[in-house]
Amino acid sequence: MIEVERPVRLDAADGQATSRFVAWLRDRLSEGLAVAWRASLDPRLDASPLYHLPPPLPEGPGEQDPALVRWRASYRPGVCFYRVGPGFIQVKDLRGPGGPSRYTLTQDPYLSLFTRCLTPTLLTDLTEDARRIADALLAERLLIAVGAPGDRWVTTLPSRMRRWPVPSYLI
Amino acid sequence: MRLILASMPWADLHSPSPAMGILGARTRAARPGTEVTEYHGAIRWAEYLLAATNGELTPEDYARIADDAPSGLGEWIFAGALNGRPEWRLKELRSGVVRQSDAEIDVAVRMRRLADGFVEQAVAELLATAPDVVGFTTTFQQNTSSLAVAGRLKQVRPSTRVVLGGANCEGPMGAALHRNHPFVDFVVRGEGELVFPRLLDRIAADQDAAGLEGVCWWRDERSIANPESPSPVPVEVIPVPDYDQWQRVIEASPVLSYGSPCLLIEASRGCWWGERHHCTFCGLNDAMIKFRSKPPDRLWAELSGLVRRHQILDVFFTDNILDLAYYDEVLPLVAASGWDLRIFFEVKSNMRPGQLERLAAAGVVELQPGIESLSSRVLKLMDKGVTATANLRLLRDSEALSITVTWNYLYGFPEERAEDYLQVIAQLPALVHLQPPRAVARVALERFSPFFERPELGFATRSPKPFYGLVYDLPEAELGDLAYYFDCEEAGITGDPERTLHEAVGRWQRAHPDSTLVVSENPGGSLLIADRRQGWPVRDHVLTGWHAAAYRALERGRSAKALTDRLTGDDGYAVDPGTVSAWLETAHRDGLTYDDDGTFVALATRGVPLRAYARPDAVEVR
Repeated sequence: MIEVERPVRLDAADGQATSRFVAWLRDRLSEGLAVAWRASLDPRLDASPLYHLPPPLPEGPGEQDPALVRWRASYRPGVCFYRVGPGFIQVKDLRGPGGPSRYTLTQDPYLSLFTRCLTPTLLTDLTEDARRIADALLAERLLIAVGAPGDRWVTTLPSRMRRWPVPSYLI
Repeated sequence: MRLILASMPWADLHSPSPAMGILGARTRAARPGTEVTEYHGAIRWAEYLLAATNGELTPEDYARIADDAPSGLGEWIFAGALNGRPEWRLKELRSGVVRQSDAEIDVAVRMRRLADGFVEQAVAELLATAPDVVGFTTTFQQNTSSLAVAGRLKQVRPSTRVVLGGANCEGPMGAALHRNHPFVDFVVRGEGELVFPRLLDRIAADQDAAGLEGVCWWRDERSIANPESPSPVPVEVIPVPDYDQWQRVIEASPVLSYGSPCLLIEASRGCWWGERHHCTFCGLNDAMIKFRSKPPDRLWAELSGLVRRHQILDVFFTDNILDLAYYDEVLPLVAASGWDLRIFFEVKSNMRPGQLERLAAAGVVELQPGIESLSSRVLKLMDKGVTATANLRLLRDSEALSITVTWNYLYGFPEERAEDYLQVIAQLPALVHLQPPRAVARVALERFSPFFERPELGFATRSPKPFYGLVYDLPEAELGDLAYYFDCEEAGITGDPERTLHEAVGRWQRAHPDSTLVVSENPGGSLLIADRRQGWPVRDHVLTGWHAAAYRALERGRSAKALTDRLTGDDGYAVDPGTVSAWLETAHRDGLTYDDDGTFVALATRGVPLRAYARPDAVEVR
């Protein structure tokens, strides 16, 4: 169990800081670690693409932020993750209402962009081709983009499945 | 020659049939002129159910029936089609012969009304390519669907030759299946790699099967059962299974989205433990028990080749037991690949230090270690060759490695005593942080097990499970040869101890999601044991000095004397046996140890896995 001492501000305008925390949380989930953290959620930020990550703890029994309540209700481990195989990456996403989505990324530029954005990346640093791919992955909610115009950061959302939750047959 | 291999309901929907994959590859190698195709009848049936009910009967309904082979419900669903009488034993299903709930029986009845239509469709699809031979593989509940389709197929096109094979055909079962179903031309009993291509040679030459080991065939109207081969098939003869056709079918099917495709790989056949000590309840055929395993380099080539070819990372090993050589020669290769595999393996629970870690590093995510019991005395009665201490060590150490342990608690063994269970039941509240058994069940009597073969072991009176009478229109004696599951008189515990065991395991299952007992090393050599188990006070135990050394020593499991010897010997503490015993008593009272007939084993885990059903409000911050 890792405890984050101070509340984390998930700010729609601060793309870099928010993206860094999202990537950090994603990677702790990958290691199978429980994270106890508190959030201050910018109402302008759509947090729904993050519901597969460990949600923040409630501030108290009366806390009513509907986005956080939904996050806590939606979360369980193994909802959106990827696995590495020989020459391919497989993504399984159960967040959508239409049942599970599966993607097998076998070729660049999809494979390389997915991998590159595991580290938060400035959208403006991407080539035009890469940005087109990023738009496609954003549409599937496999990436998230946060930040003010001109300072938007993109981050890969699925966590790598390195430690399976128990019992694994439920995943 | 055109050959179709068929795998009918109730095969698993999301994994290929190794029988079809292996025999297809073997036939292509041995008879290059043979055109081999596959019919995935199980997937077709699941699709048929979805389409015929507008999506109401789903692959999840299918899986519930498929996964419960001893109920026989899947066999019953095709019994009307097999017997040519839709009403055959329809009403009797509700007479209490099977133990399923009314809701489950309703599903089965609904499926049964669709079975005739599906059989017609399957026959038309099989005959569309005008096959010379149709080979059905049958394991678990695949008998009646295969027989129903085979019977109808022979009515429509009598010249097609029908061959039946698979685990359900071993020994007297195969002979009974043959002699009672004249539309089955041949039954192959035992392993098919060598004899099946030879049988195809005979069919192609229009010759009979005289002399082909294990084959049942017809001489005029008499069923002849050739003796089975005494020597098992060497692994060199077993080819890499061909799963290409299966993958094309499942990827185009609406069934796909109801599960995850999984490769089946066979590293070995037989059981190296069972060769010497056949577990008394294990239904592995004696003829098949001889252990044979693929050389490590070949296994790695097969595993990595199939993963690359199919881009599937879930791998289920069909082995009865893991070859110990693989710990050093295969698992490190798998771990070094860096691939995120999810591997299932059956193992023996008495592992040496480090072996569990090697399994985890290689991507072994789920183990079936045959735990069966937490009483060493009862385990000895089973001839399992493991102790309760070994079982508890495995349950405990799997936690920190995020390994799912699948097991059932079995009881009902001749010569077991109520006190064997009362000792265990009294300690189950201390185990709620460990993975509970999925079920508690009276041991089943299965063909080929020592309990079946040797009535003097305690199960002298037996009869085929009653569902066989609801499936086959055959005399009792024939059912006795055809059946795999048997009813027998109850042995061992009954009444109160039995009920108490069920209740105690139920409490364990309910308490598990919210229970942890974790030990961590503190700076300065002390231990912190955080007790957050349901039913126990929230408590942090801090162990220092020889107490910490003692608890570490108990991770292996030790008697009070062995613990004292260890503390006063290697560890160099000056502590007398009485003091050690008193401390052990306290630790045991606090639920920190399990007492296996005087051997104490530490229960606290070195980590906690994420739990698949964890809710965030269950996370507690200190």
